[in-house]
Amino acid sequence: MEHKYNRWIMGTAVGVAAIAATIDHTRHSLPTPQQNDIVIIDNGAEESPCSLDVSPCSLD
Amino acid sequence: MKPKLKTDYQTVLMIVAGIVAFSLFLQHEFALKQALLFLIGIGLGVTLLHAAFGFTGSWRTFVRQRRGAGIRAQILLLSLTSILFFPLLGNAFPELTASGALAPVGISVLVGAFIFGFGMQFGNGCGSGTLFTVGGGHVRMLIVLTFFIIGATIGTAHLPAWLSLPSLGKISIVNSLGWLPGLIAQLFVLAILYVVVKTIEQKRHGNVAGLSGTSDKSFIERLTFGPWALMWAVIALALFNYATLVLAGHPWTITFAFGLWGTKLWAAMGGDISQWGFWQGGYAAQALNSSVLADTTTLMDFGIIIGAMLAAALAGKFAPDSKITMADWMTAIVGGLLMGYGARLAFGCNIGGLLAGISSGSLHGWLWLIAGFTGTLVGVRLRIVLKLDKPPIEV
Repeated sequence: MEHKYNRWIMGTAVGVAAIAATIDHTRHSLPTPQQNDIVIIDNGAEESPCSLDVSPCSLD
Repeated sequence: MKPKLKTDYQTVLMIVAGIVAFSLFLQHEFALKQALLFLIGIGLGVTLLHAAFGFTGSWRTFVRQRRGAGIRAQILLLSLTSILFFPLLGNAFPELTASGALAPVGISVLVGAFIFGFGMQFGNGCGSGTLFTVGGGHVRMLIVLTFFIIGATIGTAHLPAWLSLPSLGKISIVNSLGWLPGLIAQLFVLAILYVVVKTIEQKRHGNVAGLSGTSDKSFIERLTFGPWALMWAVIALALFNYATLVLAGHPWTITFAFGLWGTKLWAAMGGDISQWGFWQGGYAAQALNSSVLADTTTLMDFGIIIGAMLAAALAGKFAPDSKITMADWMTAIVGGLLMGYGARLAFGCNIGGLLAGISSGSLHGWLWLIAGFTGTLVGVRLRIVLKLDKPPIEV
């Protein structure tokens, strides 16, 4: 019985998260499609994504 | 005798269909990169759950019982990931470059990692551990995750104040020594740590637990249904982390997304975030003002949860029986809040701060390790005082 109850809780949590993500996704305009699948970034000391603040590294 | 676990094929089918559909959606809405990062997250989730690869339990087991298999596996993971990361970060392959997790070595990391290490002993899960146990259907860990998100959100509001405290700035071993001498120095230190942990275990028990594990199942059976040996997880986690570095341009990170989710939710409920400096510029502002699905850490976190669900269903142990006591509630709330707040201050959890930091050759990762383990020592001791664990403690 407990097993099924836990499944309902997990299912509800996943459902709520999916709805929240969908609402957020539809509230924002979509980014321009990217041509490159792999991001190549110069790793110069002052030109890394970290120093340019364009990636979540060191923001985790 | 334990009942034999049966694969839950109905759930497996639903999850696989969901993974395929969501991957195609990401490829259509964004790019192949997003779909691949989500799939890497799936791989991480399967690995973490099948190998039960966690930091919280293994640190506590070492502190209490001097059994060090989990910690030795983590040291091997740090070593292997460093071997993969250092040449790339040191521009050994100019056509494939990316950025490591570099952060300032300061009070913020010291306090944050201590709080995190302390909190994870109450939450019963670290950053990765919380995600894969939620995926495994452990309802208590949903509470931990909820308060993890709240803690990380509060952390983003307070971080600028913490960053004004003394700091040595960013110190990169790769930049200071060069990638090869830096790698050799780092591997030497990790080897010493490995020997120390092994010696302590050998001295206490007269033997050392293996990392390969044994089973009467065939390799394919174990690979699909688990359980995995710790060594398999070490190799898989290092390779997935490397794939993330190449594809996303940064190492595997987890808790940035928690702060993002919480802040978006707070703003959606009418909360004022205009004074939260953290979200005013750079990647953070960009992430806040874009779809949550555009954030790579979010996609990978979703992947880890769903991957762990898949692995748990394959192993026949999704959503196990459990009763949540008042003590469970209290420890989940306290642990989640502390981990969330600590991770924000420390530039990441055990994955984004410790694993990514050390493997990127950033000194803040080593400070994280020392402060986080010290926090765990205090947390394990307090668990005894609060009668959550039985004495004697062997510290």
